[in-house]
Amino acid sequence: MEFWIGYLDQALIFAMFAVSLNVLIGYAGIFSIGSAAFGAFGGYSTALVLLGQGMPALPALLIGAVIGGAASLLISGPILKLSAEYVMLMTLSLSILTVTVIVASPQLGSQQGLIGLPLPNFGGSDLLLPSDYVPWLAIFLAVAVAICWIIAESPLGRLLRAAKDDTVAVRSLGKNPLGVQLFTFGVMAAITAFAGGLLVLYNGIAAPSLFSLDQTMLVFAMVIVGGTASLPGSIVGAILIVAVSPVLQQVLKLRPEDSALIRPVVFGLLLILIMRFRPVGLIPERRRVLRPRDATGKGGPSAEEARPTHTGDAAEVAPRKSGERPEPVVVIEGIDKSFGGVHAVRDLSLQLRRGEITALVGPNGAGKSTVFNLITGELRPDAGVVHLGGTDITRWTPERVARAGMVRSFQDLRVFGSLTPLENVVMAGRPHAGENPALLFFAPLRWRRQEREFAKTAAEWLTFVGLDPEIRTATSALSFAQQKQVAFARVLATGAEIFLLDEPLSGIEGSAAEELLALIERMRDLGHTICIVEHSIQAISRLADWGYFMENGTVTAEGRIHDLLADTRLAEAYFGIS
Amino acid sequence: MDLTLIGQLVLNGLITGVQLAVLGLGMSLILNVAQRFHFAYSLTITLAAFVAALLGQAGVPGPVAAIAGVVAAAVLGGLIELVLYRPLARRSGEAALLPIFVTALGLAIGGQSLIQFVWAREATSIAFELVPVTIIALPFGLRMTTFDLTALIVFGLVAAAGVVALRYTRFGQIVRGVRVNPSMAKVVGIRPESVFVAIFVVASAGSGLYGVFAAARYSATPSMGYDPMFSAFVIAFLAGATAPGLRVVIVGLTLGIVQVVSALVIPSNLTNIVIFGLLFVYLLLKGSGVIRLTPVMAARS
Repeated sequence: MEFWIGYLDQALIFAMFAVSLNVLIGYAGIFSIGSAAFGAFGGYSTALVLLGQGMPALPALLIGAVIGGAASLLISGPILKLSAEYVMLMTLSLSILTVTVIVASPQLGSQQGLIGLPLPNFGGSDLLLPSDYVPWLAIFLAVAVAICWIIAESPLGRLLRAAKDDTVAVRSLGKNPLGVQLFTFGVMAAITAFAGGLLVLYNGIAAPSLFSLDQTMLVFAMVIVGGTASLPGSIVGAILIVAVSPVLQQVLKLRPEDSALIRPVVFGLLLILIMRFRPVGLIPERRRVLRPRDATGKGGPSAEEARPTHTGDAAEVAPRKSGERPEPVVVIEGIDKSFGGVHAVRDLSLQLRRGEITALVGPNGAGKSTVFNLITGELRPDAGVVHLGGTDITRWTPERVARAGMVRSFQDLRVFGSLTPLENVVMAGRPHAGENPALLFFAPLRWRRQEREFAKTAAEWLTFVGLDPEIRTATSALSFAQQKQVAFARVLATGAEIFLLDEPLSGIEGSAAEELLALIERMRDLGHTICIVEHSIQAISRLADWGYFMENGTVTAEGRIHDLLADTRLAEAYFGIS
Repeated sequence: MDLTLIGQLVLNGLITGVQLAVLGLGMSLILNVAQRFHFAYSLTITLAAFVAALLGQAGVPGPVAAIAGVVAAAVLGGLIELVLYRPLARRSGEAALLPIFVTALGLAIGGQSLIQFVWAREATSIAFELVPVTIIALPFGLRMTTFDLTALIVFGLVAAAGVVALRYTRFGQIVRGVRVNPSMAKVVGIRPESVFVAIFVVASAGSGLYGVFAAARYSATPSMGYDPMFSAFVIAFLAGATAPGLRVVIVGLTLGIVQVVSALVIPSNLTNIVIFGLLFVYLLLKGSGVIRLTPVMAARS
């Protein structure tokens, strides 16, 4: 029996490796291949503390976890904002080199490892037999799963998922996900380091073979076989993968040395087959999606009820005197941008005035969307300045610009495909207490209350744009027109004063287009300042108060939109007709 | 400082570097044109080494065994793309990075263990003699073996052929076209999927060549593919996605020289740390925007 319990112990330890890796891969989209390295940091730190300080096992494990988490974060943190391929390469390198360094270091016992570790003692008793470990390992795993669950299934986890779908869109809503990504990475590395410490204690030795690249792959296999973004799946995956070896020995009667070789063949094959025939894993992702009833305690708001009470920070529009235009809120002066040899925007100046709809019109390739990127901080101008309400925002980041009250939409929508429409819109709310790591763990009532408020507001905005807030499917599964509604509701829900709308009507027509036009007019009537890039002349002539005509990256004409559209030279430049 | 020693180290670095350059060229094509995070590159290296070593043990002349090893690697590489990666890429579209990596991981783990189970259960390494080894004296007190000379010539010719082919031939033109715009390549009658298979065959042959020479230098071992695969990834990333073949070769040569020369100051088994350090600094600079390469994969992710 102890034979099987020994493997149960291993499964419990490796489940800790697997759940923490799964949070990184499945929720945060951080493709780390560094599990064994992080485990080694923790394992060797724990062993050194035990040998050097004679400390009890639990404090030694915790110190190992802190050191392991910090070291992992220090080495891998700086590259987390790069694309997935770089993160994979860096963490893969770390896995390979950690063992190389250990083997070359006599202080770490080289190939033989650190031996002579004391028997672990938990709760006043020494752990001698595999069965002695089971309750403690189960407790540690439960704590690890609880931490992972709180992070993954919370507003912070939603922010991670959104960033995994589209970081640019998250930043355009005023949030920088890098902080929570680093926090999550550090916590998961610490859990992995803790598991590494347990592995060392369980084996009674800190040896490089415990943390080889093969171990990283083993953990990866557990996550994939169980199912990404599925914490129960990772536990099942760990049990299955660990069980391969005893099954080969006991059931198929293979010699231990043969079973050690066949085992990787089996799970290598499992990985290939899972990816080919069941990429969601054995236990697919199941999560509790946010619903309007979370906010109201009953069903979602009716269309009549859904009148957004929060109309943003838009100022009241003073009654206009005839012929007089309102004051400018955004002033762009002489901005320039080149990409290599292409001069996309040159010496461009324009103004957006409070409560007006300003149109940027011009032929394809004139640089209209680039102007949006330059105004919102997505791109840095080579020259020129951008002022928002008198403040120079030229060097501001996109999230800072958004928080200052200027938010944009995207021509290609950039909705968070894996989130529901309601969750998409909730992302656009004010800073959420549940996205703050400290408040997430220590002020659960506060963030849960805020979650209900945000869900209620988001449901109202969705109803406002004509979409059912009860839709519980992923937004990527909706029609293009519905996704457009989600994107528009998300922009409105930011409560910004200024909206930059990039091709809001592209891809929709008929009544859907008419409803959207009416919505834009309503936002203008509520006092918002709007800048719109749109190819539909009908829409522009209906909406815009003022227009800028752009050609070859610069403004060549401005004026009342009807005057611009009546200009035959501009019509020729725009339509290619005379 | 002993100039002869430095000269010798640079020469050794060149020999190492030119081999890494061939390995890097293949990985660069796989990463930047076929867009696969091909972790199983280690497997084609190991397979070629074992095929050559086993045939050599069976009495087959070294060069013939080496060619057989290279062919085995090329066939395996082509099959991996055709049978495993292509269906996943079709199904997953832009989200194919993880499925392909996981599949490659499965291949690397399973393949390596299978090789060990079938061919290296008793002896964990198999020696292979490619050419008889004698020492050649060079001017300025430098020395090299006939094996090193063979490696320098063979890998030098392959690297040069790769650079020329990518730059001046119809094949190179097609590869560049597919890298920049696969959709447009289709419009003009090129089948990107066929190009990907061709790239896998050629790159895997290059990795096989590396494996065969590594087996002859040290011996064939089941885990011999990981370190060179790591170097190949680093070279491909450092050279950048838009890099022509020549830049990949220069990065490979530089890395080889740096790796060997760094053995002057750190133990030779830790020279990979130098590569890691270079990569880390590069990524830090890249992260802070100092270096602005625009890798195709990164741009599409």
